[in-house]
Amino acid sequence: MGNPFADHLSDVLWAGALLGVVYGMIAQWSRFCLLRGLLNRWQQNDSRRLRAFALAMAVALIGSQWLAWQAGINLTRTPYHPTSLPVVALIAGGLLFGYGMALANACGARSLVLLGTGNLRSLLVLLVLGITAYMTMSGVLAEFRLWMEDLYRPTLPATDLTLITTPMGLDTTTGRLVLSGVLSLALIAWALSSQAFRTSPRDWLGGLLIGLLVAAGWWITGVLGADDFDPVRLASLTFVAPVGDSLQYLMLSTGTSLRFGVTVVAGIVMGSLLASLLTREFAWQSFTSPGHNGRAIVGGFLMGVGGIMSIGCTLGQGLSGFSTLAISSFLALAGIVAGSRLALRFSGGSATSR
Amino acid sequence: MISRFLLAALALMFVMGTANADQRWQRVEAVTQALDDRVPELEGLSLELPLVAEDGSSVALSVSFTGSLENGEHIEKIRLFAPGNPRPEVADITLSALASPASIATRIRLSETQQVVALAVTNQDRAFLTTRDVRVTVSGCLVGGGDASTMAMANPRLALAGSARQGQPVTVRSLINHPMETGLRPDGQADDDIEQQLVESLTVTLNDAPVLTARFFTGTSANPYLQFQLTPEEEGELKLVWQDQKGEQMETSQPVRF
Repeated sequence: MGNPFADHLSDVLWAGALLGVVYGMIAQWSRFCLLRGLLNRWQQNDSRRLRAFALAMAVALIGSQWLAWQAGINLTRTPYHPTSLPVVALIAGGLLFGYGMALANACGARSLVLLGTGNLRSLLVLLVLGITAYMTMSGVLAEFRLWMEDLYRPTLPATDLTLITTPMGLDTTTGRLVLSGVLSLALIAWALSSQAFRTSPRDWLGGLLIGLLVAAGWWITGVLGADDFDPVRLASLTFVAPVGDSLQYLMLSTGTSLRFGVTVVAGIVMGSLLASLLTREFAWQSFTSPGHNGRAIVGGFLMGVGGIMSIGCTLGQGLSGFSTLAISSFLALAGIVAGSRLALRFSGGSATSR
Repeated sequence: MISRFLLAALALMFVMGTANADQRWQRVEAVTQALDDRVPELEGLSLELPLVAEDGSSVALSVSFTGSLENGEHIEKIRLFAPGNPRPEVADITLSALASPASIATRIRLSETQQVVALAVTNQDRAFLTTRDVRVTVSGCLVGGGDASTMAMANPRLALAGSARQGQPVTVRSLINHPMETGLRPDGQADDDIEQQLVESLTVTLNDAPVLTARFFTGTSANPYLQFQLTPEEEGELKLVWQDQKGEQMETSQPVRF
């Protein structure tokens, strides 16, 4: 079909692939990872990596809100803003995801990065995660997910944190400005309060750049992908559904079309491969024991189920969702952190170092 | 002699085979009712849909007439059916000669893997029918509806692809924001708490002469999109009027200049 308006689609796809490559390279170099941050904090009292995540949250929040205001993107038109909030599913999904992430030793995004460095364990995690994500989204577990979502879903007057500021007499724009300012200042202040963090460019620079990439993701789908008749669905970095989409694309590409999330996923693996080859960190790695193997499978399964129920993973909800000030992100992120804490308590945390 | 007989038998089998292959539509009541005892020709109408729909809540569909018509004959009605949906009706489009060549594109909802049916009837009462199988990976029913506060129509859009010329077809695109609440929930059952809220119709006129009327049903996606061909004989104003179930109207217009 000679569609004169359809060119924006290929722009979005190419930009998505580039975004993925850049993310893969930065994340491989900086070891950006919420799980590692939490474990280091809890086990070794080293909070540098956690502070990197906090800084990324702050930068993503400022960048995305500024972009939304500048380019007129409506960030409440994202999946993180369901009109009625499925509270139980969000928290339970977060818990499952957090538990699974600790079992598998990496979240979805980190697994993609590790795959690029020759880690075959994460290939298994990703395969299980992608398949269970689709099982939960539209397959045999979809009924269960819908039941969970319907358990308790109040319709609140707002889907983002302007819920708090509107009763204080602020309109939504001012409310978002105030909230972004307060939250990002608090996060930045905490992140930079550590001398060890400030002197570790791998952490502060990594966090800063990844925060910017989240805003770049909104720019790609919201500005490059804007079209009166065929707008691209607003999205930024997120890695549960897109891993499933990527598997589906590999299997059904003749009958389906490429999407933003899939090109990002492919880009990340390429970027991380490139970075690990350049720094000579590429090394084939596999499981050391059947127990280790089992943990990866269960972890991938829990992340796939939980990630769909909580509408996103550590990046999807923790950075992308958070940058839209969505209420759902705060619930899901709390669930993810609590879930990894529980895993540390009951399943002994990570089996091996990486 | 024998070989000729064999050949004829083979040809007959082939014809019957192709005829038999795609007759599921005959068991769809909505389609047989719409046919009203007319016997449709199975060649001439072409229906384009993706083989695999990743998102059943919005599947791009285009239908166009590629066969030959008598002089003065034009396609008067195009009807779309998704027999696997809780309600099979998708859209009914009535076209005038100004909306020729008949070529429509829209976005539809599919609840499951199924065969989509398109039916066209000319002003001389000839019927054409075609079908297309679509594999749906994510049911359109799984996507939740909008909330009550956004049930109003908003942001009507209209664009002509390129410039119009007298007697030359130009592609027109239209879209209006509306959630198209079906009142149905994932199990395909009506939910008493949810009221059906659809954009009911779109009426297109050029200088008040009818071009096209579309009636939308539950099978049309949220933010109903319609693309059609306009063959203007004179300059004028192209006007689109959408009407929702509550009787609210919204309109937009654009001049057509040669």
